[in-house]
Amino acid sequence: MSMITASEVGSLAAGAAILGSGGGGQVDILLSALRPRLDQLAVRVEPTTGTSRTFVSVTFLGSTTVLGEKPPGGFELPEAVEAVERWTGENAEAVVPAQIGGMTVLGALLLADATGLPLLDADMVGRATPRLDQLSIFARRKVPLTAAIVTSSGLSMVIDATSPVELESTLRGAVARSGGWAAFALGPLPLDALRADLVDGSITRAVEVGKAIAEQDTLEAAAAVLGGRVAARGRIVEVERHDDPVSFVHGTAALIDAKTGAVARLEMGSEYLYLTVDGSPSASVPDIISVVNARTRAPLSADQLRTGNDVDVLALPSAPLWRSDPAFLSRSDPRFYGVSADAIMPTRP
Amino acid sequence: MTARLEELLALPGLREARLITGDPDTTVERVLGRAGTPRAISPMLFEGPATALVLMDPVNRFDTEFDILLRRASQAHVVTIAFASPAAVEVGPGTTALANRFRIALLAVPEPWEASVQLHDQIAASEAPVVQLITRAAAAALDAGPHLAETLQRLETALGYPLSLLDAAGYTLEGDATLDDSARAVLTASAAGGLPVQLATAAGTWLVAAPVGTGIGPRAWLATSVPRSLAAEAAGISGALQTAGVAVGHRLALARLADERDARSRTSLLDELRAAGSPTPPELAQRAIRAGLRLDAWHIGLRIIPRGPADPIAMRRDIQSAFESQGLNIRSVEEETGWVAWLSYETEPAVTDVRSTSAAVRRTQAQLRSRIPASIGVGSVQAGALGLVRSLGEAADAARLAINRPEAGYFVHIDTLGLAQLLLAWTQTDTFLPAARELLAPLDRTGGELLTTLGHYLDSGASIAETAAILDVHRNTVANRLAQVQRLLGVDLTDPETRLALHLATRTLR
Repeated sequence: MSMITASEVGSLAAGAAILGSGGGGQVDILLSALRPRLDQLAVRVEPTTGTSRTFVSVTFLGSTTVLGEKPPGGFELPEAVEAVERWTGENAEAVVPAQIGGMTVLGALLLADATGLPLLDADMVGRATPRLDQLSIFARRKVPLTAAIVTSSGLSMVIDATSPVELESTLRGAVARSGGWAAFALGPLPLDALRADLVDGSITRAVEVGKAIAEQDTLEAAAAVLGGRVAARGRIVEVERHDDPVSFVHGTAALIDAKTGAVARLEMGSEYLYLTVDGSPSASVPDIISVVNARTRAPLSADQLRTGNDVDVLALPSAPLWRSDPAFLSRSDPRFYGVSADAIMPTRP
Repeated sequence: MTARLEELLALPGLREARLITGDPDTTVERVLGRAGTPRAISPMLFEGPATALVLMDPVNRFDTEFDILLRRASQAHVVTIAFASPAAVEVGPGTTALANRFRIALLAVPEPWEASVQLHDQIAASEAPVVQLITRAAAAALDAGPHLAETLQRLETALGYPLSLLDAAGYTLEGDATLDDSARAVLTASAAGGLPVQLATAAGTWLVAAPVGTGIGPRAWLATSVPRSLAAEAAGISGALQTAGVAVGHRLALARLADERDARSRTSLLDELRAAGSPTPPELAQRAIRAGLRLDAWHIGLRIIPRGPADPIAMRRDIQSAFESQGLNIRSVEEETGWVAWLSYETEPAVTDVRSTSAAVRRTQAQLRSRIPASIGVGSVQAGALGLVRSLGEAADAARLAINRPEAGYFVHIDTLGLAQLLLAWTQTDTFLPAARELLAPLDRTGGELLTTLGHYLDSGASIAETAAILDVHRNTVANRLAQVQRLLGVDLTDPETRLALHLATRTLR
């Protein structure tokens, strides 16, 4: 993948939505924002081994629901990047979406298009994540933590933090009190030092996922092409959500397969975290658990799930990086999300 | 030892448990109590016999952890999981569906610890429930006062089962239990032994009954029903009922003593009235008034003679209440066999009143039939103390007649009898009836003709012409038939004494 043009945007968005694992925000909002520019859209996608020396990582923080109600004006991400560049005195040479899952990648695409910077074919999660401190680059080494946010109400903040956890909690508090969501930029960061800690090939993967879902005859075939499987299907009979300030887990949902009678249960936070079928563990983070409308294959986010939905549950393997080092796995296994279970090793179909 | 879930749920200690899903027929063989979260408990389950798993800690969320527990439980052959959960937490349809898929019954209990102890006691066949129930029965009996009703009520509360007091034949004296004929037969047969009885009933329960001895009068039974598969519970209840039986017997004996004392005073008062003649001595009249008798009124006497063994003192209340239920406020006094009773009126009752009273007495008799089959005689309306004695005398005569009158429903009311009929009725005794039958037997064999002719001949004052007119036959025919009668019976119809005997005999058989 060397270029994203109008013809790839649809697949990229669809793939990102699947990789969002039920979180990451709705891609449609930014897809609408892209539409007027589609004709001229031509964003370079560079491999991580390319010529860029520095990159800036971007995403959106806060409530994706509020983001739907107060859509971005388009200035927030460029202003956040400008803010970190001004503060550090360095220029970013490429853009990396902090997470591939959900709407972030389209934000990064808009930013790249507006600034003329290339996108790196990478992200820092391989799916969607609720917390900044979970990004892969923080797992193994100390990273310069200069970040900026521009909230939906126009407030800009530049912050030099000492730890990712502090960065996360401070920004989370600020966003909650100013507008509900914010554009976030981190960097510029040296690519050479962090190359091994990035999830490589994420943009390509998203397009691949989007294409497979759209083009294969059956969802099973699409899952097989992507190295995953359809782990459960059926009608949702039970959805229970509760506020839980301590842990990530906010709800549980059960579905019953009318054909086999199998009862599957999803534990969910802002993403789908853990899947059991008939009480037997079937899939877990860091792998991707995606719930799609059984008829349209449109992904259903964790907050959209309702009793009566007829769904297929897709399990796709995580980015290999997460299982390559215990330091990575400990930031992405179910325990990190408050589900007291080990990560389930993927079973290939 | 095994027990069905449905029956376990009927235990007093588990009545508040709620079966959320699952088959009430599920059989449980052992009980396993486990503390901790579902996650912590899951790895502690190993395969065994059909198990009831009791979660000691409340379940706050029915989520993946509980699903995993269900799976592990089904592999370990757990057939039911009992748990408590906060009021706001509901078991969702997903959890229910999975439990059904694994055939695990879910049981919401208010107190897991208590539930565990109850289940364990029932299934482990320990002596603990027996001892516990007996102790409870003894404590309740000690606390209760001298009254039977209070004693029974305390025992019910202590044991957690509704109790019934049955008479020796298995009829209900107190409580709701109604026994079928076969159960009553068993109780009647076991009444002499003094041992408790445990019977399987058609309703799928054990009928547990313990004899209640008073030392005087017939035995009674203290009974209740216990779910069929709960052997330990049934044994415990049996022991508890035996213990309770002593206390109940004591109360019954107290009540009986009081009844007998009252009966004696009633009987002696009536005897004195009978002996006193007219006028009633003032001292006796005063005692009668103190006893609540109205002497200066109009009376109708009744005599009730049971047609089987009956205890006049014990059954007086039944008689009294049966009459009361028909609107008859009788005074009754126990006799050697049966009772005398009377109704008193301020003013002389009208003929219609007497008739409706008579009808009400018959209804009462019918109502009592299944328990106390009796012959009843009713006297005529008489005034004053002397009248009462006279009416009672008539009633006694009528009752004696009634004994031999099944066709009249063992009921004779003097008012409906002419004096002559009464006289005739006296011929219907055990000795005269067979004699009459014997006397006229030869005529039976020739058809009814001869007997009819003889009857009309005697009724018409030995007139052949009159008889022929009545029968619409020629008088020679009548003469011929009478000749046959004389030949067959070997009698002479011209003899007045023979005619009298034959006349009585034809009347008796008619």
